[in-house]
Amino acid sequence: MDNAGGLIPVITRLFSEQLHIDVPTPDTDLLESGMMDSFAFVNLLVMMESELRINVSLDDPDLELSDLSSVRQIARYAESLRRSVDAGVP
Amino acid sequence: MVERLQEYVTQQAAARPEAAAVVLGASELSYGELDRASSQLAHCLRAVGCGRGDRVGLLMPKSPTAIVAMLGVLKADAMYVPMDPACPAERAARVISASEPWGILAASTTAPLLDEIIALTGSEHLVVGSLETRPLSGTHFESRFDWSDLAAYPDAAPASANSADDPAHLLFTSGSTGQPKGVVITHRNVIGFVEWARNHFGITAGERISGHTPLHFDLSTFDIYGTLSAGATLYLVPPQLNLLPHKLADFIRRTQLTQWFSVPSTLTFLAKHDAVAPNDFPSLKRLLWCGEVLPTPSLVHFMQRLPHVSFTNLYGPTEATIASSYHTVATCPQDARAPIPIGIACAGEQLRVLNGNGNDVPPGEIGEIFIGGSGLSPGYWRDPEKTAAAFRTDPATGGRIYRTGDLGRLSHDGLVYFLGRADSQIKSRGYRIELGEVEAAFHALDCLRESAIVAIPSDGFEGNLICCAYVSQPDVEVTPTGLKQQVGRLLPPYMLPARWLTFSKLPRNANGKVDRPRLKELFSSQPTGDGS
Repeated sequence: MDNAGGLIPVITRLFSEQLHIDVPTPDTDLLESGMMDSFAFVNLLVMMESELRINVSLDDPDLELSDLSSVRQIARYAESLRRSVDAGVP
Repeated sequence: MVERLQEYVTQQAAARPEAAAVVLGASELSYGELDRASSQLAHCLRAVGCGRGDRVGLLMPKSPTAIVAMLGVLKADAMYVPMDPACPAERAARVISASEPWGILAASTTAPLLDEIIALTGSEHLVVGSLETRPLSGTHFESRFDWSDLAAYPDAAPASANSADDPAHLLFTSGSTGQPKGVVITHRNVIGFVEWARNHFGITAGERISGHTPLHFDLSTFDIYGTLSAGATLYLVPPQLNLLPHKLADFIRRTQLTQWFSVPSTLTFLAKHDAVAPNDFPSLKRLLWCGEVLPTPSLVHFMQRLPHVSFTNLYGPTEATIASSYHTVATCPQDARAPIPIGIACAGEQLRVLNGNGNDVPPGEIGEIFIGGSGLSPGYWRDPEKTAAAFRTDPATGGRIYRTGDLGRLSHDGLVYFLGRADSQIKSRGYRIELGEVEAAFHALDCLRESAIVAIPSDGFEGNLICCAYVSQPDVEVTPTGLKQQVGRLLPPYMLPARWLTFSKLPRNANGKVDRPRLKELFSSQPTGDGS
């Protein structure tokens, strides 16, 4: 089951309320549009950790740029992390 | 030595036509291809009316094609104005209004922005060229030529009437009144630094050089012409890699770079995420940084891991072309609190620390840093007033010197140290930002009664955080998100505040001025970075 859909509004809200970036749609390309630079991105990760208890580590060697290209992709990636934690995968 | 920058590529094309000149991912141009394509573009530009000294805006993403565009414009005896494709249309429009270009070279990704710019400036007369194999169009423009038209033109450069003292490009920097300033850079300005740097660092043919900084940024001038002058290969770094430190480190590893040159915030970002392993990047010979202060702990991090690399701090504003002084750090600093000097002047340049009367201050005392020599720009584009204020006559030598606005100290061992700014200009993530320009954008908003912009040092990698204190108009609902959106139409993303505080009235000092030190205190004590 893909629960990533549930995270989309949450991540959209984090963008708006914490980073002050209004993302028009979950599929807006954040990288091409220049909406997310490294500064906004690092702040997003901090807030996902504090608000959602999802630890997206920039040091994860499996983290790809495509995982960050839109709110939907970020939600998918975060959900996959949550599932691997729940399943006890290190 | 060459007379004009484009001759670097023509010389290399004769010596090593098949060697790779510029690479971005799968897209690669050899010296032969780069030389021929830029010559064809120059003929094409002239055929459609581009004259000597005309400005040509470059509105395109970082790519080998963008390098063709630069060289093509130079070979046409015109000057290019590199523009930030991520810049909001209103700011780009101010650059267009100030530089009055003859035309624009664009790509499909920037066509919507170009359309907006033309609508804002009413400059339908601009000649638009597409550097893709298909025409571009918008509501307000249609391209006059595209890449597929270039084949019809001769592939040897047209005769040039330009000399070394003709302008090669205009670089726009943040202006304190909200109007970006165009710095005129001549062929000689760039050649002076490139020749010094290639000889000093011993850059040779076949080296693999990073192209990390954006093309509208002064430092990229060295990446490009340093590479072309040596017959090396420029590896353009995809901007998205800046988000992922490990991917950025992978890029350096995979492309086997021999030279890395970036702003310090990128290096600190790599260090913070421990992306560099001990003895990593075995091909790397030298690591250079410029544009802001590299925190000593970051330098120690790299020097401990990369003992085979030489580390050099470069210093200098756009007005003095790329860099004017250097300091190669011989041994890993023992004291992580000790600042890294900006060093001594590069050959052909002068680095002076002067007092208010224009006299050199004795070693140990603080003064303002002035620069003279071959890198000095002729001045700001069509702005004699600002030019006269910043470019002075040195009473000692009668030569020109540029007032940097940076404070410095000459140490007893002859090295100069940078101590900060004498005004409200800041550096954030390597970008030079006039807080006055940010403030002017906020003052233009009707929903605010008053606002003030201050910067505070950050404990992260970005250098300074821009903070906005504001008072909304009565009965107007204002949020930082809404403000950011409105001001985002006027300012590029890197100038947008990261912290916000709302007030019923701004704190003022005894003279009735906004109490900026108090605002800085309030922002510094704000734990989450959000006061809304």
